[in-house]
Amino acid sequence: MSLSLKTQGAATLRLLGKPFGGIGGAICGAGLGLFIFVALFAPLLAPYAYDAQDLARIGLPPSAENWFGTDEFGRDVLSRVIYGARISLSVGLTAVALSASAGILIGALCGYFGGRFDRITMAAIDLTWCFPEILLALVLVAILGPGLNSTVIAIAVAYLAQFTRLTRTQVRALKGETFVEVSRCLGAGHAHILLRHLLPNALAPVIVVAMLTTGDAILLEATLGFFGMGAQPPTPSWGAMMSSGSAQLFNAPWVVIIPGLFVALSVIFINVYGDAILAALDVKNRIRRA
Amino acid sequence: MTTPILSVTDLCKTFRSGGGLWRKPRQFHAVSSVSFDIQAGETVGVVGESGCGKSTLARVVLRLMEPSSGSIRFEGEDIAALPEKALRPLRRRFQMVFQDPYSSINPRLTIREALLEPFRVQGVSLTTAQEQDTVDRLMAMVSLNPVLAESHPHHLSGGQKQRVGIARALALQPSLLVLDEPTASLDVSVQAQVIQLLQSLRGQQTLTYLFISHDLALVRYFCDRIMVMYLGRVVEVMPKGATPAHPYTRALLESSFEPDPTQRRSIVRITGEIPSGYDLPPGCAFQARCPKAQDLCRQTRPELGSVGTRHQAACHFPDSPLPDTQTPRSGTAPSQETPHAV
Repeated sequence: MSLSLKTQGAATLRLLGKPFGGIGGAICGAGLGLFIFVALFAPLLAPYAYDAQDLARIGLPPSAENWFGTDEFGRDVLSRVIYGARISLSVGLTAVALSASAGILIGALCGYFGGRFDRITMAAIDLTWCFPEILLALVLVAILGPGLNSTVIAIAVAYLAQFTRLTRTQVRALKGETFVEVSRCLGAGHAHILLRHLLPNALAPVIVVAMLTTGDAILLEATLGFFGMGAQPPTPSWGAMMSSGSAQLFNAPWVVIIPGLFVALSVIFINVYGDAILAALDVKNRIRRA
Repeated sequence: MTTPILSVTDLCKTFRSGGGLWRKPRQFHAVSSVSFDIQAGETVGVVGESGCGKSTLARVVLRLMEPSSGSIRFEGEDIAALPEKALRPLRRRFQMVFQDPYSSINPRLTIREALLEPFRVQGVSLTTAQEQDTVDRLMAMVSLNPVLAESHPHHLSGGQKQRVGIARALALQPSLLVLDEPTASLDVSVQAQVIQLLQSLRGQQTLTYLFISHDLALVRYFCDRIMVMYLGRVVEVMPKGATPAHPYTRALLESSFEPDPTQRRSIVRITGEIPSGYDLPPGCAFQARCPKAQDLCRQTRPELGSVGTRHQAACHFPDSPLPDTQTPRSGTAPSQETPHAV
């Protein structure tokens, strides 16, 4: 992105200055920042180790010693939620980064070169639309074997089609612009046209979709964790915690409700913040205002 | 006579569309057997109504589109046959100014970056000081305020953007400049400025222009020689100031207004529709709309033939300067256009 610092500064100001969406965006951005901070400094912030069992204190409700209560093995739920933030956020972010990078690469090549290569590749990519994301991810994890790496790959593949489609459409539309023809007339090669003219103009919406998809990816990771296909015990992830706690739903509901609350909060934060960024970074919007 | 800077022979461009497993694709003849020469330093105008193939001709001549057949010799080298990679370094010698100044500059680049792009693309490395000099020189050449160098295209007016387009095309000092309706999307007052700029640039450096326009009055004012196109074919080539011999050119000329009420005259309107480029009628392409069309015109397509000094027309019954206009011209090669499979 060749946004100048000045424009980015102006965008940030506009983000804060807007009366309603602006404040919401700022609060959600701050909330997201707090989650990331907690994930980064988990060992310093967690009051107990995430796998420390205390069989004398099984299924206790929230109290002064255990703010979020204890689970079926007497482990501190707060500590597990703090460590779980690491897994949930990093799996979500890594998977989306991987998916977006691959999607941008494939989509740009398909959109730019077109022809038979485009049709065959897109047909293969479109096959993944046929399955619901959760089913596709479950099948992939089942093939690759449960674990964090396969979870990341499965989530990346599940969202690959939307990034590829979006980039391809953007690049195809931009390919017809006069400035691309000008560049070709000057003697530019494919790499120059793609990297200098097409991608910088195509990426803004892709980045926004990547932000919004991160929320879905965290949810998908939680779902895979709930089915026991994600992080393996005793490693905590929010989804896995809800899964193992579901047996105690009526005795100790906090074991399920609290990780679920954090999944919901992070999805909300990411979506609202992504919307605010969409409004602030919209190229057309910027041109209209300038 | 010296070798022409650009020599185009029998250039054709056909687009295919539709077609399927069982149906043959339809062929659209955008440019059909166009031949012409341009001498160094000359300004040649191409006129015709929308859809007659003039923009396609410009793009095919510069190999922005692949020609279907024919040869394009630029300074003696056949650029129609070169592979794209070998052509790239040659591109600095022939440049183009595009019709739409609004989308001709990448919205994310500053004017300065846009003006330096030709050097980047052609691998000319410049020091920071040289870059500054180049940008200043190019902006001064097209009378743009150097303050604008750091602004983005959306801060500029249409006329200013078109100046940037001209400066960028001239950055690598090409010998041929193709202008594809450079004034069509500008206000009349701004049009005049751009035309004046092009005229003064022609005086300062040896430039050859191929000027595409639908405005016959403008082309008659600006160009040394005029090619009139109709349905992908050149129907008349005439020097500046000549009286048109082809009925189509005559009708075009009569449709342009004189800025003098005493010169007011009744307009002979061309009736009928332009035929489709998908299936061209046999005979003269203009016969359906021509006031003078006869049986011969409906059967045999007229070839370009001389009607005066450096003046050619593709008509069986050209108007003066030849006095005897009602008998078929001798030396016309009869050729039958084969109807195209649909």
